[in-house]
Amino acid sequence: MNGHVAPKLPETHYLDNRIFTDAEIFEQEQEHIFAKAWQFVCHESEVEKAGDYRSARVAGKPILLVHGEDGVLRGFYNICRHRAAEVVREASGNARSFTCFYHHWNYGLDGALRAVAKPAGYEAVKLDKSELGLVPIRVEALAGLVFVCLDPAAGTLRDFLGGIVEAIEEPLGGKPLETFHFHQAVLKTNWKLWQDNNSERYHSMLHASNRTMLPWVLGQTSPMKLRIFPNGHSGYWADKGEARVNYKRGGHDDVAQDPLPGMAEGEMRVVNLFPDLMINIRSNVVRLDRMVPLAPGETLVEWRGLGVKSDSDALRAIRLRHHNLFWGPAGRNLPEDVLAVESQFRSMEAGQVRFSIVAREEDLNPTDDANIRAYYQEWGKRMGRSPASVR
Amino acid sequence: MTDRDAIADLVQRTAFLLDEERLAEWCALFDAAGTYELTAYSTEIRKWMTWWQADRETLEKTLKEVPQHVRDPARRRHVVGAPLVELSGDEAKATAQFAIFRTMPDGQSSLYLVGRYEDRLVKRGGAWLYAAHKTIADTRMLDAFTHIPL
Repeated sequence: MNGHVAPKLPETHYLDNRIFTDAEIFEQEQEHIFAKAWQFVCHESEVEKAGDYRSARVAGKPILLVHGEDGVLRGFYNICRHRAAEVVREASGNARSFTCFYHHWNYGLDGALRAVAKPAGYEAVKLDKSELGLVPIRVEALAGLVFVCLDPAAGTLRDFLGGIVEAIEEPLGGKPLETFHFHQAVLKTNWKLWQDNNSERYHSMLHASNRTMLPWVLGQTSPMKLRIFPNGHSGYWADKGEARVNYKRGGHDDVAQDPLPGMAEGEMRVVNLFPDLMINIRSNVVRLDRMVPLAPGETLVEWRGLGVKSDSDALRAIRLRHHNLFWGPAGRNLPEDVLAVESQFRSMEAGQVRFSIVAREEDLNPTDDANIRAYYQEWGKRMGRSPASVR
Repeated sequence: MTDRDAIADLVQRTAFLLDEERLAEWCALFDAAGTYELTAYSTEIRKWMTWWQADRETLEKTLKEVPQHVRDPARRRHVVGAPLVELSGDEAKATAQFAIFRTMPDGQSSLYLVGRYEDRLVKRGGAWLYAAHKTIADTRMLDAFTHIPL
């Protein structure tokens, strides 16, 4: 028995585990995927007022989102045009303008260079401030989700997302939502393994709470169906909202009240956008996972929880309890998922088993691997290599 | 034992029972209407967050299910400072700083979480119990998530 022999399966049905551990592939992903695709950065409620800003890293590059006085949300590289210090050093805040801490060059909320310290020193060379604003990047929002794209040649966000937006536009965009929860952690795993974890439902029995509360985890066929869209996006949900969690069986029959628009009470819906945004909706509350890959085996994951902005205290408490029950850092499910993907990476790095099998075919039931295969087809297209073979 | 000593003892016992995972005994430190809360402030969204909030009954139910979960294999050890206590008859407030260390099965230890407890206590039948036991976490980047209170 040799763990380095490829399985006798179609090449689309297995993955070479070195795509998760190889440093060169990791660097290529930054260039070919993260610097090219639309990337979720934050929810619009985090930059709601004029002067609100949010800094982040995309494809390893520091970026800044700013809500302008004219109401326009703009994006820039968070890099001073003088000597390249980061203009904003906080994760978020509200400002009238941005002054680089190093040499005090000052930028407006629109990115324009407004003033330089000791300007007389530049008179001899006639420094043109109009040419030295913060370098802009593309920003678009959809259903309250704010995305950026570092590639000027890419199509629009809506073109990139295609038909899958129909699954999120109503629940996320039907009422104003806001971020009420944020936590982050550096997982000792490859970023794609975290995306896979949310994409495949075969692991549902890992979670004690799912074994109790998801009627379809043990034995029954799920009422959900996998939905596969172009560009590597996928999700799973039921057309008439009949994929309902049995909260009563878990002793939590009061957590799913006041479902979001378009959602049935207790309904579960999952959307995974290429390359790294996961949207989990449990009837009345939303979880968003965003990733910042740091190294082949290090991934910063940001978790957000969203509720309805106009919530009463009582309703917010219900949504919060629902969210925290499964998804918070002290939730029932999240710790188990993290242990699983970190275990995978440790073993993949050791190298004795070279291939992962993604061969389930079940008429698009959620435990079918068709969405994983579609995801890696997109990965392969963008990377110009097969995910089944690293040479 | 003075009330101050009894409260200091309670604060240390709370951490000890968590570290030993004697979770039913930990729940018994709460008054019948007592609550547990785990909170942190996010500089990213500029809001206080609640990561766990439960009354005693819910805590008992949730913690009974702990053995069913796949869990962080590390052992945790609290180091809790002496509490500052404000007495007011049969009620009291206590604040204590703490750190939690995490030791992996291979013996490697690391700092897991620092923060403070802000507690409200009531005296019932001569014993001090939690009316509200609140963990305020400074650390928000955890090396592992948790199925038990912190």
